[in-house]
Amino acid sequence: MSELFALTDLSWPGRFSGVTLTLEAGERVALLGPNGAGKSSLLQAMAGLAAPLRGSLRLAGQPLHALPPEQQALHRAWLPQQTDAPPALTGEQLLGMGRLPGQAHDADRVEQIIDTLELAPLLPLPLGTLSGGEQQRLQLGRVLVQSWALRVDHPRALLLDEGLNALDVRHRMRLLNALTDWCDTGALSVVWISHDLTLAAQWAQRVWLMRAGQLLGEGRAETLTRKGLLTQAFDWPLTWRECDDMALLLPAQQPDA
Amino acid sequence: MIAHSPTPLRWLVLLVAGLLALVANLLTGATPVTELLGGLMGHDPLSWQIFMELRLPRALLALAVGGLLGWAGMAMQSLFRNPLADPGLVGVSAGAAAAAVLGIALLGLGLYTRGVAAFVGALGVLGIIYALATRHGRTDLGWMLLAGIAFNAIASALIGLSLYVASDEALRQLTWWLLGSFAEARLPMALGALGLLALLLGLSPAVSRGLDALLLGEASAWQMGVPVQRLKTLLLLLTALAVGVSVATSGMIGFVGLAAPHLARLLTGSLHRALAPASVLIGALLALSADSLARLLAQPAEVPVGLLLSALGGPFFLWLLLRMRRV
Repeated sequence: MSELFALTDLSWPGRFSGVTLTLEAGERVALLGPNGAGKSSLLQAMAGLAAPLRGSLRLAGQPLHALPPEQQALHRAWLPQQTDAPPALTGEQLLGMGRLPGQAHDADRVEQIIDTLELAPLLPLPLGTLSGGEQQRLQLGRVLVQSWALRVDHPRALLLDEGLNALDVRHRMRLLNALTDWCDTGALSVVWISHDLTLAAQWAQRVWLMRAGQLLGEGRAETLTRKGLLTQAFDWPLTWRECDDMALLLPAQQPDA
Repeated sequence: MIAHSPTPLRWLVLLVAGLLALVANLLTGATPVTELLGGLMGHDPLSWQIFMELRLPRALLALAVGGLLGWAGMAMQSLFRNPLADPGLVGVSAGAAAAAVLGIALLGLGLYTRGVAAFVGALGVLGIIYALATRHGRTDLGWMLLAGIAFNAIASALIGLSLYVASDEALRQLTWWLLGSFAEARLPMALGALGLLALLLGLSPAVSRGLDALLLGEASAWQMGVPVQRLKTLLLLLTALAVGVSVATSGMIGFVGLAAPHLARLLTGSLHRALAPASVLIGALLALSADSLARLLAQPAEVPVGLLLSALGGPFFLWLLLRMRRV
């Protein structure tokens, strides 16, 4: 396994501080924490969008700030919580924006992405005629074209800021299953910010847990839950249950449970 | 209803329309068409002089300035990520005109040096408005338009002051020029403007992906590998050049910068590989047709084309506002 991102004592003043983490090639990470914990800021910093950072942030072995944007785009793709797009743009045009200029993209993988997210019927339509969830599927497709379908021999990271919220259960599960397969090849790593704790805990190999601008812990969801760290982070009782071979991270009905 | 891929047929229609507008413009004027054509066929030196020294420079200048304003409007709408951004509305043209007029009145600048002053004026206003209205890659529409009102007011005051101190002869010339007209066209001036237009068209494919990416926001454009800051600086400079040259040669021509990109989008969709040349073509088509019309309306006199276009621009702006409210 090779290190894709290495964060050492990284701080973005006013947003988060003292974060030390690594993201390995092929890893599936869930970034969890309450509102305002600094999750989105951490992802923005990894996407190269924070200027005054302290500490060290390395991407593919190099200091991130030393990489020009076109180089960064070869190693990571990022989807923010909300992305505007002009309503007259078609699905196909939006998906096509995921292609990096001067780079080859794997046609089979583009097909896989279209198939997984069931984008084919959306491609000829203007975005203005699509629902929020359908637009979000196209935006996810776009960043997957930039990362998974990119024909390069180094691993890429996909940074998803709550990107799956608007998706119905069918598309959410299809995408998560596909991401698992694609990460298993070692070509893709995913960091996914989610508030669906149960699903995130089932899907991710590792959890990064943040609270109040600090990294509260990182590791397997089960370990963090059993240590009480998730309960502490969200200030709400959370328990780990095994049920028919399925792991369930469950919130209590009442805070005093 | 909205076109999403520019078909070859649409381009053909647009090109033919542009060519017809150019020919119509060349044939419109005080000398009747038949007389001029007859003279040209018969190698009459006067007819050739009229054609080469008046008609051709004027048509080429209208074509170039229309194209430049179409390009500038497209670039500003991308830069500000707002369909109401336009060199005229936000005071960029007025800033260029004020700088040029001040230069003429106070420094006695000539035909070509006033182009430099106009560029500096356009760049100054554009830079300040961008800095004022844009925070974290988002342009506040209210701020942009209010800053535009302020700059239009400041520029009108400066222009008024310059007119006040100008000599009677200079005054007449300045007024005519400020209203917007292609009548002062000279061949080298028209060729210079065409050269700039060729440069912008040549650069367009290289910046079109960046402009497309900006449609999704500056942060998303950056993550797609676009050097956003460099692209914005380049766009500001090129837009100021386009507006500066068009104001210096033809005064304040409204409407074209606002309308051309909108009409082009109906034809080509939002992606800039097609939108940039379509905005240029439609801008040229609008300017050429308006200039022909300006000479036909009050024959043998002519209406300043800038006035005519301003008269069209107001209702178009209202239509855009109504359309935005419906969306």
